[in-house]
Amino acid sequence: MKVQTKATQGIIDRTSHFLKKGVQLEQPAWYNVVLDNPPITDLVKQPKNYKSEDSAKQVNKTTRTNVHETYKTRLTRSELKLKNTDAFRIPKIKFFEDELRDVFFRQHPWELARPKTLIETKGDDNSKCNWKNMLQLHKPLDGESVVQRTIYILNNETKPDGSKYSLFEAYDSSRFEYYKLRMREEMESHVAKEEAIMYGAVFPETNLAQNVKHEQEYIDVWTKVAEQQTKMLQAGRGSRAPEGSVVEEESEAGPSIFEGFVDDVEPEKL
Amino acid sequence: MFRIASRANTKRVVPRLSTKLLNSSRLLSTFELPENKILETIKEANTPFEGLFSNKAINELYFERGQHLVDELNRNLEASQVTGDLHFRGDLSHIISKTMNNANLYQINKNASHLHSLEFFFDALKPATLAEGKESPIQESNRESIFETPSDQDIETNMDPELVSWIEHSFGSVQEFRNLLINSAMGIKGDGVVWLVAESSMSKTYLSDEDKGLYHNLALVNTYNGGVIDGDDRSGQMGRFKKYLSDKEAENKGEEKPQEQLEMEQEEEQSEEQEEVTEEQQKEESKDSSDPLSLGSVEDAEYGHAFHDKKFVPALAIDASPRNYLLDYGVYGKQKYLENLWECIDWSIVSRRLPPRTKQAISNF
Repeated sequence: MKVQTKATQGIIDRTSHFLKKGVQLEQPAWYNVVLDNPPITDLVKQPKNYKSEDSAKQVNKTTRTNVHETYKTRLTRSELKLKNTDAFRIPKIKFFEDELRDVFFRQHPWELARPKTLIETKGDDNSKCNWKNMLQLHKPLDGESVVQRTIYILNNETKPDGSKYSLFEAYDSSRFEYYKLRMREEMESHVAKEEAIMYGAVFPETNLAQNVKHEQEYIDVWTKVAEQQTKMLQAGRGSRAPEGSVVEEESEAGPSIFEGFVDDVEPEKL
Repeated sequence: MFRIASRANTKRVVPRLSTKLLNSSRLLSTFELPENKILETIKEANTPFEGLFSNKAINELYFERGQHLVDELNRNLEASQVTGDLHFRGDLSHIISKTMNNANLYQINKNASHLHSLEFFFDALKPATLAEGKESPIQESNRESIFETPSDQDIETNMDPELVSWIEHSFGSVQEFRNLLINSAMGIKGDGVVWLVAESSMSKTYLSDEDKGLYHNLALVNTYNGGVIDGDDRSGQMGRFKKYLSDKEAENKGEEKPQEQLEMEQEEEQSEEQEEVTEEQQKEESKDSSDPLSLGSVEDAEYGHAFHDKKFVPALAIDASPRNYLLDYGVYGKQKYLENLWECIDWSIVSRRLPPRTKQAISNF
């Protein structure tokens, strides 16, 4: 659902509009009051980025030392006032992985079309994975593998000359690993099918083949009807003029711009 | 007809007079394990096949298995010649294509084709030269190795430039060719061989028997369970199998076959020449019955493409059967075995086996 950013301000605008157009005939009781004191609170929560500095400052403010050795029994009004109103704002969550995912799936949109299980029993499936290699025992190969492997390469691996990988190099390196594994997977499925056929396996029809077959039934019926109709059409045309006449030859060659003209003129000539 | 490009080291056919059949004075063909000088020196010196197999593996894979196949082949050949009136003379490939379509001669066909691919495989291998101080790559792989991403960096081969250019034309690059070769071999789960073949530009129907054909393209073909590279026999088998299934279906429906078809089937069994004629008739028949307005199934299209009637000339066989890597590399070692195998291919023999390349493209017909 779309966030209603102008829900409070808009109520006056809309009610005035309704009154003017006659949708609402009577003025509501609250109309003039709200018009004089329009609501100013924006109910939309603004996202907030938490920084480590902010929280550090907050801690310093709250720690107090009792310098004068006099004890305060109650807080003042200003002290009671809620100061950190930002705490109620929703924090904007930003992950580095998301940027990588974005790049990968923009470059390989069809990877999104592969079926995928989104449910995890405990939500910690990633902890079972070791991204030293791209293939995992607990996880099928997909775009997420590239993301995780890129991060692993960035953090743990060095180039043969000892220098660190840049982000692009790490991403490219894991991307090519991914291609290699996909190629192997694809070949494996082709060969498995061929091998099974050679040993005598018979595969059931695929959905696609079934649909084509179903379509063919209708095409067969249509073919007969179309054949008949074509015959009728040709017979109708043939009866207009005797065989061998100019009109007949022209109609065989295709529609000509004179056809209409000839049709009109013919009876008078005859 | 079936042809092999291996001219370097064909089977030794030893005609001898059978003591049992001296009276009828018939010649029998018997086979011996083909000579392979590299492997024999390895056996005598008791050294490993550098870069690929241990000495024990070579002994089991080539000498013991090869001898077993030869013995079985000879035994079955003799038995068939004693009981039936079949004569098998000539080389192995001739025997394979002769026995292909007869279930009674299955044992002969099986042993002969296994023996053929065994020889073809080992003939094109040579021990790798290891850099000094480098560890031998013949090591058992552990469980972790199945997760490793295959590497295809720094591929160096001693292929001659002509072969390289042909491979680049057909597969894109040597690197791509290597990936495809290893991946096709990795895909085979049971007993199987990957072949590098030269594909004729025209189908066999347009080539006479004497015509050697023009070879424009290289391709990889898998065979399973001792299959051989012969598109004709392969497609014939699949066609017969499909026909058998459809006949069964028709029988189940209780439909009686027309008299003509029955006669045709009887004719088929009689002899080869007649078989060819009936096949032609069947082809014509199938052409007539096919409706030009109906769409074929996806399966038919795949079938037509996969078993198109092209002549193949094999140049390299890669044995991907588990027996080859289990001994030295363990159950997880297939990828490692294939990568090592790539280093041990003798590309000069591969180029020698290939027919001359035709650069001009002829469309598929």
